[in-house]
Amino acid sequence: MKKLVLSTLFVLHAFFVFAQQPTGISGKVIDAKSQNPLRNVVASIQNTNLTQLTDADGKFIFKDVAVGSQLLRIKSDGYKEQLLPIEIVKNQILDLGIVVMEEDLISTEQQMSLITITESDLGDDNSGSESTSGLLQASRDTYQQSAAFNWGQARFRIRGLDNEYGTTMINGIAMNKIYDGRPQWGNWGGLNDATRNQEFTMGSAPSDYTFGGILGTQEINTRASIYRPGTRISFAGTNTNYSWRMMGTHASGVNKDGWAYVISAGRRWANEGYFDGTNYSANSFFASVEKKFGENHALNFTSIFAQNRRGKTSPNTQEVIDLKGHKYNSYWGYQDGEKRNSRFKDIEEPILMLSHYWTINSKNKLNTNVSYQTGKIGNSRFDYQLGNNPDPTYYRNLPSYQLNYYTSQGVWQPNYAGAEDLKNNFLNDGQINWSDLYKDNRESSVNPGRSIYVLYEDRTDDDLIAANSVLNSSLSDNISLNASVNFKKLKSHNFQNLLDLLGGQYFVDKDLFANTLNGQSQDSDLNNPDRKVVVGDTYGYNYNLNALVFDAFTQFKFSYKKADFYMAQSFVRSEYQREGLYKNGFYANNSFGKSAKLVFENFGFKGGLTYKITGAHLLNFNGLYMTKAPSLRSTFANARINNNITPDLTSENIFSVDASYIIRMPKFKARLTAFMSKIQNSTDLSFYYAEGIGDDDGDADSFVSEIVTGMDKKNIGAEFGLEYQITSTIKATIAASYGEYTYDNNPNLKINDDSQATASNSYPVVDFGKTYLKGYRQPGMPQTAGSFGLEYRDPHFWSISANINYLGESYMDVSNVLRTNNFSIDNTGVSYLGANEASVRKILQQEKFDEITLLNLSGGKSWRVGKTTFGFFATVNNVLDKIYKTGGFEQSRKATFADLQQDIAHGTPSFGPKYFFGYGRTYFVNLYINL
Amino acid sequence: MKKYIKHLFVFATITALMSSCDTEKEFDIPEVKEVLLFEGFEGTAAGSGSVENAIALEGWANYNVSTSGTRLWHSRLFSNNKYAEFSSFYSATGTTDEVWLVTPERTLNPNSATALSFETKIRFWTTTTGSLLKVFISENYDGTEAGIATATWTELNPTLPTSAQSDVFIKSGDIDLSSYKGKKVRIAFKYTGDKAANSTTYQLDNIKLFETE
Repeated sequence: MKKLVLSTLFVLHAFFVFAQQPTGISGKVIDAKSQNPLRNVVASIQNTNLTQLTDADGKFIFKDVAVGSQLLRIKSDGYKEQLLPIEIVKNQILDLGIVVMEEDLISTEQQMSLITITESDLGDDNSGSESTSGLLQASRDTYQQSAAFNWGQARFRIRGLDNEYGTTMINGIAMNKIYDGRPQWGNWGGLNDATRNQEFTMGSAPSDYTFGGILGTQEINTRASIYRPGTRISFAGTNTNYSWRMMGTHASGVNKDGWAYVISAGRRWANEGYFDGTNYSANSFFASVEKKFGENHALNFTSIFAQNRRGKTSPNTQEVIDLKGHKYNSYWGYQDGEKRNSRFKDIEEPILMLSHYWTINSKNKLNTNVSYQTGKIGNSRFDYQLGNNPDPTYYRNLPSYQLNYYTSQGVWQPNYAGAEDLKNNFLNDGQINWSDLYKDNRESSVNPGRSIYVLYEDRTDDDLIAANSVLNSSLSDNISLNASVNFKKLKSHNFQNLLDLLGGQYFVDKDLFANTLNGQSQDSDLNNPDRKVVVGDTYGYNYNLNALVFDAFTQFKFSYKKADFYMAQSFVRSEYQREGLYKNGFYANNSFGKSAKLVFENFGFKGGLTYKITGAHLLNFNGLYMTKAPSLRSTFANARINNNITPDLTSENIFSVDASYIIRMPKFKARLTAFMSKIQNSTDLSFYYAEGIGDDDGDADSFVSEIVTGMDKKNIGAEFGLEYQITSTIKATIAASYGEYTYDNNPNLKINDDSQATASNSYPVVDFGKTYLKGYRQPGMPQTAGSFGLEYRDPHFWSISANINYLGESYMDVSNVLRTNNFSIDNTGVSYLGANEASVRKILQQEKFDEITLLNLSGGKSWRVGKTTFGFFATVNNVLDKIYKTGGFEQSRKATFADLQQDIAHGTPSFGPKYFFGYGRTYFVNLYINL
Repeated sequence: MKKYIKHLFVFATITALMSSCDTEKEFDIPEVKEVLLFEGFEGTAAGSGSVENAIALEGWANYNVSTSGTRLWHSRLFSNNKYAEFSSFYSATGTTDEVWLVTPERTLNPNSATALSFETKIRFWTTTTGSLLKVFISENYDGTEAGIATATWTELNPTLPTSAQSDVFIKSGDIDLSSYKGKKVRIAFKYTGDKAANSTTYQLDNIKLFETE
């Protein structure tokens, strides 16, 4: 029978058999339930480079093992890992006999039930980031498991790092978007079964596929032949962002002609998710086919198509929350009795990938992939001209508007009766009034047929071609080499797409805020002035972003008896360019056509050492230094309407070190890590609708870009995970994370102000000087977390576990512009009255969110009938139904001390911070059949 | 196993110590150039015609120390703007005036220079002695009428309106008080005039003590 070498993960060791009887160990691995031999189980001797996969009979054998006490690890996806102490005797092959592998019900099912947490819909642009939990998905590490299953729901981030500092790959091709560096998890959402072959590395530890970042790497392998053959169908009910999920997957295994295939489909939907008015609909399809050609070649074709459409939820001010509760969502309203959400996110970006696996010889393997991804991301919202803001939480619709009223002389004149009216209106209605919008559009008497209100989407249509080649080479018994080259070419078309005229017949493609006296034109496209647009038309802005990224990486790994170490280096060249398709009325001279081309060349170096004090007892150190090109998103200061490049744009410097102490014993596993990272010279662009920065009565609803450059961040902390098998059925886990994630300097802030654009000033940037951020905490995540869990696994295939978690030190996202001198110093050069060291410090104090205690329960049972397994798995998260804020951001509207003081003086600010909430008590029940 | 737990504990302690070195919880704030005092007299009740409402703001002193004078700095309104005014023109025949309007005490920042600014308008330039208004600073004035004579007054050198600059508020310029860092000071506006020949009208507004660094 042909022996198939199926793994790209491990380099098979070459053995030299000496004359005498070899020294080693052998065994056979079987499935506990079916008693069938298990193939492709990874057997490895700890702290050596001895690793094997079991053959078709489930057998493995190691020869040439060092004499003495060793630990044998046997693991396979979906099974409980085994760690067996063994005693190697010279010139003997120790026969372990049969090793029984138990299915790891909990971990597998837990992973299947992990719901991606929807990222706060903060950005007003098409930033890709969809969820925070992708990189949190389960590895075997106790700490990472706590982070994924217990802390993820409260937006915990490992090491306080954003997803852009991790690398998520499918078959070695990085899926992080060039646009913002973040992976778009929605591109393979709902395909948990099909994407379960994953490998993780944490921090800057070495990956075989990429240089990576400082958060870690996640590699999803879709090669058809590595899936365990079988069929799995599951049906789940939950009350999170969706209500129901159906999933079916079939993997064929390799047939005698060398073919293997996997197909999978999933659907998730909800009429209304946890938050009001959030409907959800997602369909996903996956197919992977592999054909082996002889011993050394295989081709695999993967296609992934995931559609995702969901209604978004609004962040709300405390005033709104107090009136309407934490589930309130201002984005929806009734239309003909149906809840209609005005802000939809649509993702549809299929991936096609062809992979070639070449076993050049026993020591060298080359994997080459070519992929093509195309499709669209759309985020809908209202556009309106000559009408009132349709947002039910627009500040003039809320009681605070009447309570915070000041005369032009600055005298406070609250109108309590008016406030009461607004309060009652808001309580009784408080949602989008679709029928009024239709009515206004239809009855627009001045310009019959012209819509006042329309619904449009900000669209990003990407075409991405990527290719890579990954070499795995065993240079000697102790030295291995990983190397890869990657190439990506992106054309990203960004435009405004008209979705719905809401009863009108056309919309006018003009920006009515243009200052025509100043020489500005209202036309979005001077090449096609005075356009009337209808559904399906592109209007407003229209441009391409083109990027060309090439990178190469090499890594050498050395493995010796007492120590393993590695070093790696990378080179990345990025080329960015904008191409304007409209000649914008504000920027007639620098909006149409191509921008200057930007090129960044970046390097990275990293290395690390594992020192084995004994087999069960290790020290590990990693260090990294790299530079990183700014993301495409940060490169163009006002990409929607001009070709201007962000001022003072530079690459980031990234520096990271960590040190760990690791214990691995059969019943006791622990890891303690201390880490520090610095990210310097970051560029942070935020785009938002500002109603006149520093000008409190401006009603100009203009889209501004705030440019922060030269920003330094420092993340330091420690993480700890411990797992102790108290009895053969009861396991205790403890995990803890302590971090101080802060801003480490006072970067510079500029604001692009379109209203000042003229023919002679095509780059109207206002310099606000420094923004004083040093010492503030990085926002939106708990910086301290702890977890204690107990788990009982009955031998009769049922289990139950409970976890109690504490999360704290989570902070508000502070407004950068409020931390500039513009806030504290008036236009005569002195501070506003009442502003002194103490009062300014008090008003700019960063809000800290309440601590969170979460109790989570999970359990499941499975039955076996013949070759079929039936089972269910259920989790209840946040059993105590704690309502908690996961994050929030300050508004920048009241940008001076005097204005802010006035706004907060009477207890109900009109422009207070907006908050996001976590889920209360949620459940997830999954029923499944494995055939 | 105990040994490992001991190691773990030692490592944990080291980690904790490393982390706790960074205990600075302070955060930076934007520059503050505090305004220690600002008075635009908008909160006073302006008189009109012969009705004079003397400035009686909390902490301020307002005394006419001339033996024959009785009138004080008083509030007036013109063009939606209130200010403090004095003129000997309306005093009784044969009388003289020496009227002191003194700010409340302010402690100046020991680490930052402070400056004074105000605006002055004159009307009906009538004088034999030049400017009838003089501006002083004192570190030991106690706020009483009697204290005016015993306090130490140092004259400041603001820009004041000249005969050619009537009917318009003239800025004093920023008068450097950096030699008074950390001191408790009061600023006095002294009008010296008489009905007979020195009766220029002086109006004071927007008196401001502020940090300049």
